[in-house]
Amino acid sequence: MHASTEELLSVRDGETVAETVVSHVEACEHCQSQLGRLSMIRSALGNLPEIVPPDDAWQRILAHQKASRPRERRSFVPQLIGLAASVLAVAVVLQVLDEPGRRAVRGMPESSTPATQTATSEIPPAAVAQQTGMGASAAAAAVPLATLISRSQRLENTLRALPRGPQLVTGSTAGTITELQDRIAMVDYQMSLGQLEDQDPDVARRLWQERIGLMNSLLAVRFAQAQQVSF
Amino acid sequence: MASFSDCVVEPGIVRRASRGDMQAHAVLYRTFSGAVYTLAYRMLKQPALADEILQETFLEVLSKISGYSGDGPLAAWVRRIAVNKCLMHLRSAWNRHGVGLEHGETAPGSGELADSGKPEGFVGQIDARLDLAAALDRLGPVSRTVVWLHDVEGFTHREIAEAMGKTVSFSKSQLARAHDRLQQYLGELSKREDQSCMRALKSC
Repeated sequence: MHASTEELLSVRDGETVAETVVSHVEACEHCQSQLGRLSMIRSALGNLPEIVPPDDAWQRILAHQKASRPRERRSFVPQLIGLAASVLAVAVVLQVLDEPGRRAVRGMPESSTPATQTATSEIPPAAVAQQTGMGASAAAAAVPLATLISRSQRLENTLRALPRGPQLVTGSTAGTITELQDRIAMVDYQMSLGQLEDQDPDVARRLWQERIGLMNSLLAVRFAQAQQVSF
Repeated sequence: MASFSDCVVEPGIVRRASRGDMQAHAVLYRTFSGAVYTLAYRMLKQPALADEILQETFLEVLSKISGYSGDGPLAAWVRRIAVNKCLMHLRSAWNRHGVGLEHGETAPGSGELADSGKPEGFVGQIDARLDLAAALDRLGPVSRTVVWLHDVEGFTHREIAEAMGKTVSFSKSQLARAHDRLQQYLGELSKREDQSCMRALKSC
């Protein structure tokens, strides 16, 4: 019986084969011929021509490599400087916008020095109460309603004057903005209810104060956002 | 042909490539692209897939060259990446189509040889190497992969078994099967050539 192809391949490749198989192959003309064919095919396979890749393959690899390369880490220093500048700018804007209201709270004369004006910022009723020794509600009550409404309107105008936000924002920024806008809408709703029911002036003041606080926060976020776009 | 064993790269080029030198990357591509593409084409039989494997292989080579230890020849490392990518593709193709590992061969008389659309006398004129390439293409994916890895790339049966997740005896039997089929297909071609010659003689 002749050697199988598997046995002949083992002989061809110099692998361990049973002695009886080796002696048969050596003596058998048919198996020798078949062994020669197997060797010839291996040699011919190795001599098959190389297949040339497409000309643009390397360019495509480079393009892929460039596209998949992780974006270089940018230094956060310029962003931090920008953010600090924006916060400062917001503080200055608020200072200018809110000056009349604060004067009303503190009973300051119109001619207070610019340095004093710059040093002060948005002062919540609690802080006013601490400074003046009044209770927080009393401090809030000390601000005339008309002043609060006026401040709210100025904040509204400033917000409108800011450039439109970027189309792409982080999820947290978008969430913060939405939440602030929702809360402002809720305050507006409460105030509209109060108008229908002849709202208590103290409650109205508190709502306006809350609205101003929310508008301040919204302005700060939107201003920082506007600054980041320009980086 | 330029097989992986013919691909030699100077250590300086490897060092430069590992530092991200684009020119060194281009040298690596020029050195290995033919071997990678040929291997992928022979194993997968389709130019588009071979192109895909070439791209994937080089993206991995270039991104991991800095981690290449230099223990073995660079050619063996690149070849290993390319072979793994081809095998991954074959595995996914087998899974996708539900084809058994030992199936997928082109039936005798069909496929490239029968459907070539060439004039009658063409078969008698084609080069023997093209015959062999065509016969190789008719093998099933597993047999074709095993015979290429073993007889051309020099993989041992153990290495093939490990790469394919099979046994050594599986690799041996697939190699024997591939050779039986190749001889059968080449025999068919030889008969066709003879018949073509006879027809040509009669028409003279």
